Amino acid sequence: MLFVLAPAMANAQDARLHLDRLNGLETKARDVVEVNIEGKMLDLAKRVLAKMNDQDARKVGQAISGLQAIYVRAYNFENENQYNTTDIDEIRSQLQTPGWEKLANVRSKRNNQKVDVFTMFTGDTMSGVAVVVSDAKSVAVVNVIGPIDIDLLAELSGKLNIPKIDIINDNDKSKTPKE
Amino acid sequence: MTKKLLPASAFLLVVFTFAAQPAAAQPGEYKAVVHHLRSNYHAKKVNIPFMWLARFAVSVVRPAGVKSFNVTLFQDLQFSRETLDAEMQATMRNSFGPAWSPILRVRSHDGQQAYMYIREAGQNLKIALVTIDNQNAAVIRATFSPDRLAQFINNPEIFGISLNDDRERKAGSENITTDKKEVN
Repeated sequence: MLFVLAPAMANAQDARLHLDRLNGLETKARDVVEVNIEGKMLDLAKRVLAKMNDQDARKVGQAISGLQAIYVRAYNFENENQYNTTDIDEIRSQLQTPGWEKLANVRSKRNNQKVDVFTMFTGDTMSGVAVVVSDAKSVAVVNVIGPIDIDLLAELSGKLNIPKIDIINDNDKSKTPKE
Repeated sequence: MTKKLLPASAFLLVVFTFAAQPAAAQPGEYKAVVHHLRSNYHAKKVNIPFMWLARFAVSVVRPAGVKSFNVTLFQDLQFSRETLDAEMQATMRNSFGPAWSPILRVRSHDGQQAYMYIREAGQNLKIALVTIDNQNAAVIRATFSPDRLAQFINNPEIFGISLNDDRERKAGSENITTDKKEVN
C-alpha cells in the first residue's frame, strides 16, 4: 500500500511552491492577502461537505477529498512597477522544474500582464496546480496541492459558485448548430 | 420563602458557573492578543451588555455547532500603519502555539487588517479571529463542532424551530412578487 502511495505523495510534495520568496513584496505592497488552507481546515471542509444532504455539495467534497493544501498570495501596489520583478520570476522559475507542465501562458503588453497556469500530473490524476498572475500593479499566486478530480468538478461547473466550464466533446460538436 | 429561594439560587449558580466557565478556560493566546492591543495601542475596551447571557445561551443552544465563544471589542486604537502589520504578525506568531495554523491574513491600504488562526480540539475546532478596522478592533474566539455545523446546514433549526421554513416562506413570497411584476 505504502509503495503504491509513495510516488503520488512524493509528487504532491513537489507541487508545493516556495512562496516565502514573495515576502520581499510585503513591504512595498498596498494590499496583501495571504490564505493557507491546509490540514485541519481542509479536513473540516471535507467533513462538513461529506455530511451535507445536498448531492452537489457531496460531489465537491468527493472532488477535493485528496486535496492537501491551497495557498494564495495576492499583492496590490500603489504605483506601476513598484515591485521587483525578480521576486515573481523566481516563482515562475520554480515551475520550470520537472513535473510541472504548462497549461496556459498569456502575455499582454497592456499593463505588462503575464498569466501562467501550470499543472502537475501523477499518472492520469492532477496532483498540483499553480497559477501566477502579474501585471504592473499587482501580483497573485495560487498553489493547489493534491489530487483534484477534474471530471467531477467539470460536472459541477455552473453550480455552487463553481464557474461554468464548457467542455465540448467531439460527439457534441456535430450537434452544435451551424451559424 | 426558602422553597422559592432554593430553586432561584440553584438557577443563579448554574448561570454563573456556565458564564464563568469560558472566561476561566480562556486560553493564553486570546489573553495575549487582547493584552497586546490594550497595552501597545492604548485600546479602550468596549463593554458589550449581556455578553454573559449570550455566552450562556450559546453554551446551551449551541447554534450551528458553536459551543462557546469570546468576543472583545476595542476602540480608539493608536498605532503606526507602517508597523502595525509586522507587530500584529509577531504577536500572533508568539501568542499562538504550534497547534494553531494561520489560515488567513489580510492587510488593506484603507486600514483594515484581519488575522485568522485555527486549531483542532478533539472533535471540535477552535477559531481565533482578530480584525482591525482603522481605530477599532475585535478579538473573537469560538469553539465549534464541524459535525453539528453540517447538521445545522442540512437542517437549520434552533430549539426545534426551523429557520428553513422562514427562508422558504421568504423565497416563496419573493417568487410571488416577481411573478406579479412579470404579470404587470
